[in-house]
Amino acid sequence: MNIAGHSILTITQVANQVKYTLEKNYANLWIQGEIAFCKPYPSGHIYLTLKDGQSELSAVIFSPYAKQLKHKPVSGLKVTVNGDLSLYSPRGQFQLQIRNLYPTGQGELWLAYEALKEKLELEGLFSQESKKQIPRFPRRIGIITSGEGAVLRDIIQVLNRRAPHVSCLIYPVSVQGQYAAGEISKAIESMNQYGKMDTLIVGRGGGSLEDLWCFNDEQVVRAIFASHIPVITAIGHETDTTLSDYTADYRAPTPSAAAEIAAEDRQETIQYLDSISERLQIASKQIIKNYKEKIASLQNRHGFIKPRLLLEQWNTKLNDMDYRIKQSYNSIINSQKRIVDSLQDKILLLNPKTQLKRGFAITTDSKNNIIFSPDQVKINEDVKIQVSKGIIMTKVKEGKINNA
Amino acid sequence: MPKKQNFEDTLSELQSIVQKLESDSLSLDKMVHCFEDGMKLMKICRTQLDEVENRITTLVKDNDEFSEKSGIKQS
Repeated sequence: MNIAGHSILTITQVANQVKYTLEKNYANLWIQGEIAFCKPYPSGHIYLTLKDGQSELSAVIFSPYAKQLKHKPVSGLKVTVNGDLSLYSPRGQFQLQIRNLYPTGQGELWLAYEALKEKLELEGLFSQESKKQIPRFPRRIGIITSGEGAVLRDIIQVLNRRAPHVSCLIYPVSVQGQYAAGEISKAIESMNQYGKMDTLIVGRGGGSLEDLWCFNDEQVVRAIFASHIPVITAIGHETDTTLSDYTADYRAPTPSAAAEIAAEDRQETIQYLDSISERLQIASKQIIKNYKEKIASLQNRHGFIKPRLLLEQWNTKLNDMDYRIKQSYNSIINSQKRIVDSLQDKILLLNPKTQLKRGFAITTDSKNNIIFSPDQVKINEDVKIQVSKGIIMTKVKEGKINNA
Repeated sequence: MPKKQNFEDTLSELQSIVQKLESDSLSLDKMVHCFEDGMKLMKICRTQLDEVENRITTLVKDNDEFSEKSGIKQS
């Protein structure tokens, strides 16, 4: 719309232009003030009024940011906030949309913390892949903490109890104040340079945010990351998480816990060795038993039994043949015996002496030739006549041949 | 620790021997070897645990030279 040379705007157009200008020129502000009024809504958004001596500023923390706040905003709290200006058009009211809120004094610290955290995270200092394994059975543990105080005492006490075979190398440092970060990072570097250690514990007892701040120092964080020796941190209480904790290979909630993580309990280890020893023996015995069973089952296999069966079969056959041979042998002998017997009978009948007993005589010449015919002898030749009971010596008188 | 065999390595070697034995596919010869090796490693482990060192020393650096002083000393 254009009237008498003036361009006429609608309310919404004005609002949009102002909104645009605000968002463009007043983004990412850091503002300090006191919370005059603060009300959380069921939606999760928190509405606040910030003020200083002269002015007030409406502000809102939208629920995603409200959930992540480390400090709850309350009326009267002096805060440093980070956010963007914008316009709430329905009311024509400009307001600050807060992303982060810190109690004043800490605001700057947290600003630096967040920035550094983001940077280091991008560089991969917190990544799980770069975490080193904590050795379970160290020979020696390096301890970087205050030379006096409960932290060192707690760690040594736990190690004495759990793992008296582990020795400790201590590097005393300041754990708070302006020199702390330099000393701690130098200690980590020196321990690495010196070596001869399996694990490092970097520890500090609980303290205020400022006390613990040296563990958010970039130098310390980078020294932990660069350490070749695995690092366990035990800094402050469980709720305080420093950038050193993010970077460490293991973050222990307390110094005692750090010592417990650093070394396995000696008694438990001995028990474990005992159980392994037992398993070793059982397993060996089992293997021997299995082999014995295998041998036994092989012995019962057909292959082993077959030869024995064959032997038995052959044995039976041999026995059988032996019997048959003896049988036939006997029958042959018997028949021969019978022949011999009958022959003997015949021979007995033919025995000359038998004939002599019956009164027959045998005549022989001087050369003992049996005389069968008269022409074998001459007249007056000496002849012997054998009779049953003796010999008669006589001379031939006459010979007469039988007429056949 | 330098030179001395690392307890952890010894222990994991021991564990793998036990697993090998328990896997039940070993020849008798190998079994005997494994068993002997296992008992040897077991002895090494126990000896290392028995060596109660518990030395507490403090690292001191003078002119870039490291040295260890016994006990807890303030730098």
